[in-house]
Amino acid sequence: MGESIYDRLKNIVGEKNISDNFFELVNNSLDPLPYDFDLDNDVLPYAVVKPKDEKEISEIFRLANQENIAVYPRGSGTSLTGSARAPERGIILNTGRIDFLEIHTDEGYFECGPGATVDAVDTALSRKGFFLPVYPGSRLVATMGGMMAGNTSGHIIDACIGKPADYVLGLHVVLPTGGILETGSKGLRKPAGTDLTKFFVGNDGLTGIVTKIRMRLVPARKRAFGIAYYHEPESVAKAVVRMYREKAPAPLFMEFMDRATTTIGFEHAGLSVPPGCSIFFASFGPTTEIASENVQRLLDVMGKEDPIQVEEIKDLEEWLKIWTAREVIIASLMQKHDGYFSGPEIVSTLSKLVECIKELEHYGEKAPIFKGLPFYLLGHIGALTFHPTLIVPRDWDNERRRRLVDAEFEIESEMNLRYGTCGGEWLQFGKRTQFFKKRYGVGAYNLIKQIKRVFDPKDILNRGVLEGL
Amino acid sequence: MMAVEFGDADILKEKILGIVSKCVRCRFCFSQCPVYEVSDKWVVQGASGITQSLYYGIKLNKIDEILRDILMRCTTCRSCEILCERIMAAVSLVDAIRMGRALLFEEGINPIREQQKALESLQVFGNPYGMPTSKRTAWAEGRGLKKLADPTDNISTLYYVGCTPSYDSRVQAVAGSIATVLQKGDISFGILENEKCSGDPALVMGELGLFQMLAEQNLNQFKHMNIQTIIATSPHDLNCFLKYYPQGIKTIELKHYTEFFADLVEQKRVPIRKVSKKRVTYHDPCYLGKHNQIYEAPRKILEAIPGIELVEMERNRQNSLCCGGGGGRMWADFEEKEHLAEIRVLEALETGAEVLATACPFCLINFEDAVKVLDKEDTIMVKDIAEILLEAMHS
Repeated sequence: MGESIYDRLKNIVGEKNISDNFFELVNNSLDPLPYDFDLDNDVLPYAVVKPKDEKEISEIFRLANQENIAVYPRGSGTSLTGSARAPERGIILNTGRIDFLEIHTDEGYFECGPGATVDAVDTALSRKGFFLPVYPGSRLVATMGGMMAGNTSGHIIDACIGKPADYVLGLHVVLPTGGILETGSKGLRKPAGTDLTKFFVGNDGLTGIVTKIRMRLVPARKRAFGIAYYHEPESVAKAVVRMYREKAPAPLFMEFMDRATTTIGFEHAGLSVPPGCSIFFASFGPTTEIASENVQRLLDVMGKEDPIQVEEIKDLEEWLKIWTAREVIIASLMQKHDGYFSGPEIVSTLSKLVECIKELEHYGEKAPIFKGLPFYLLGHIGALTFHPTLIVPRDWDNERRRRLVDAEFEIESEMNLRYGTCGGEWLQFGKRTQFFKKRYGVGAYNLIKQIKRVFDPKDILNRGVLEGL
Repeated sequence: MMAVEFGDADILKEKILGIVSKCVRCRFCFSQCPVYEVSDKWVVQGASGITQSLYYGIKLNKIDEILRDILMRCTTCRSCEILCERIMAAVSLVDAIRMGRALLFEEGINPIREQQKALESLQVFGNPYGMPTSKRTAWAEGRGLKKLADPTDNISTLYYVGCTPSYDSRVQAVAGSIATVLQKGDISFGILENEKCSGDPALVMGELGLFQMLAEQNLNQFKHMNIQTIIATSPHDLNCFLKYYPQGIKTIELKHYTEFFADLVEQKRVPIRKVSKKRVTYHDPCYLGKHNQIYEAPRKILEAIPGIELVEMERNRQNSLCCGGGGGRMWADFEEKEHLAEIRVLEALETGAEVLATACPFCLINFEDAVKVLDKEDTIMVKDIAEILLEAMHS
């Protein structure tokens, strides 16, 4: 990138909001995948810019189009599918400065910038008695912009409250050509029929950059909690199938950890040794009594699959310990084995959930490169999602770690194809492009490219994410 | 007790890579990093962004002044490490940063100019302010304090004053208060006639040779005087003694003055009277709380004073916001969106407190400046715990 382009970017965002500092460039090329950035395989961006609003973003895009330079928006870089690593050299557009939050209780919605963290929004909403229907594991730093690109509710069970798109009333978007667009409504009723919002929530960052998100305010509800232990993971899967088939109320969260994982997590959380593998959940209700009734209904269902123990957790402190055990489990496992974590997102159909969990118990045998690695099975089983987790030794060289990650995504692809599913928590491209082509066909992939061209004729935004544009 | 990592550049590099390679770049630590809070969102100005810069600086052979400026911005408050411990990853990010600063020295990268000046003063005068050695105990004149110069003085409890309380006109009042409380508590103690800096500024800025020299001189002096107990004003000095001094210091009992005073108060060895009703909030200094888990002793002192209502800021104890003065930043000026001390004073004002209490010279100085900048001198006062306790003894 020539000096004059840098200067022109500087004129747009101001001297303090542009950097070509080597270390800033490197840091904006990192993600949590278990291998290092290296200059032989990865590319450094030309510069990082931090626009303050949609007007500046628009100007950046106009410049990028004139000069044919790729632009990569970036929030906190927490993607687990490689989506945060720019595939080509370009300008990193950091959304961090657009982090406003306005809660319009009179209107029944809130508006926030893409750089606002999920945690900051959730905390502010909680203080006013509302609830954010988004809960990624990385919520402390994950940004709302990232949640929009992925349309992900994280660990929350879709069957309980849906996806963020169900709550998005409207957006402000900057198109890759520099155009500024408003979608949706300021009313509490989403548009019927054509609603351009749908092109941007769950867009994998391909069609535009969201600069303002308007979401419906959801009143906080009371919660109640339950846990069940089983001898075998198979029984857990059967219990979840029963939950859906017997019309038990789907909980907000429902997590599974195999016996070894539960044992390590509980030990770190200061809980007693679990009698088996665990499934634990949080139910919703307008009152504590109704939330508790929902837990009881779930426990009744669980009781039919020969559990070791089922119980409603009345002690909030105990629940928080269990939840903490789950929240920190990956780090606990890494610490135990002094390694990195790696794992895909396998989603099952309801009818094959038992088969899926049985297969995943042997996940560690699925590729030669997995041999001998510590393996743990866990996941958001209420959403029929598993994260088989391998711990990668720190002394493995970078190339070997890369190969392991590639092998994991191949297995993810093969299994999700076989089960007829797809990832429901992480984004679709990056490491998953080949899966997308196989799952939906080259025709579908080409259709996505055509859509992308309509919004972005020069393939400026996230260039290289789609192949052959 | 943690040893100081002396060694050549290669050893330091190996140790740093060993620590930082445990980081999975989840960046959860950014949510707790005070520097990131005021940085305007540059990744290199937040917790693991700093250590990743160090990691790749070593891996890609880019150890330079740009990396220095990134490393020196860290307050070393430990908020990142605490978060990392909470999520069970427990990466010693601050240790890596401290070693990274030492690596800069080894690689011939000079510190930031103001810091360099402080280190030169430390070498020449035994304090980072360039003040004459002869003035170090001036604050104590007329207070009837025993100045220890010889083992025959036969006093085993040392009040280690520290550089800032010795020379800074505002913090001298804190040293005076601590000495008076000790006197009123009938504690047999003395101060050193030839006190020198603990070496903490050299340690945190990476000048380990200078730190080692000061640590050895001080320890020799403590041993020569048969010191059994040291009471320190500054949490920074205390931390330095506890964790980085040679093994010989293990035989000496090391206490922050708030710990010592909390015991005096509990044992009713100092008379406390009712003070006029006031609302007080307490700021946890990072090197007292986050580094050494001393959260309750200062609070116990405040709670023991009738008339004082102790109110907590939303961010307290492990979640306390750094004042911005740690990690050598008292001798460097970084351009930041907001000043941490000003944010903290505003948080104190939100509680309705009339007094912002703390127990660290750096916090005291930074908060007093912040109160002036915010023009809140009529609304809130900044006081050290020792001053508050002494007032209660006088009232």
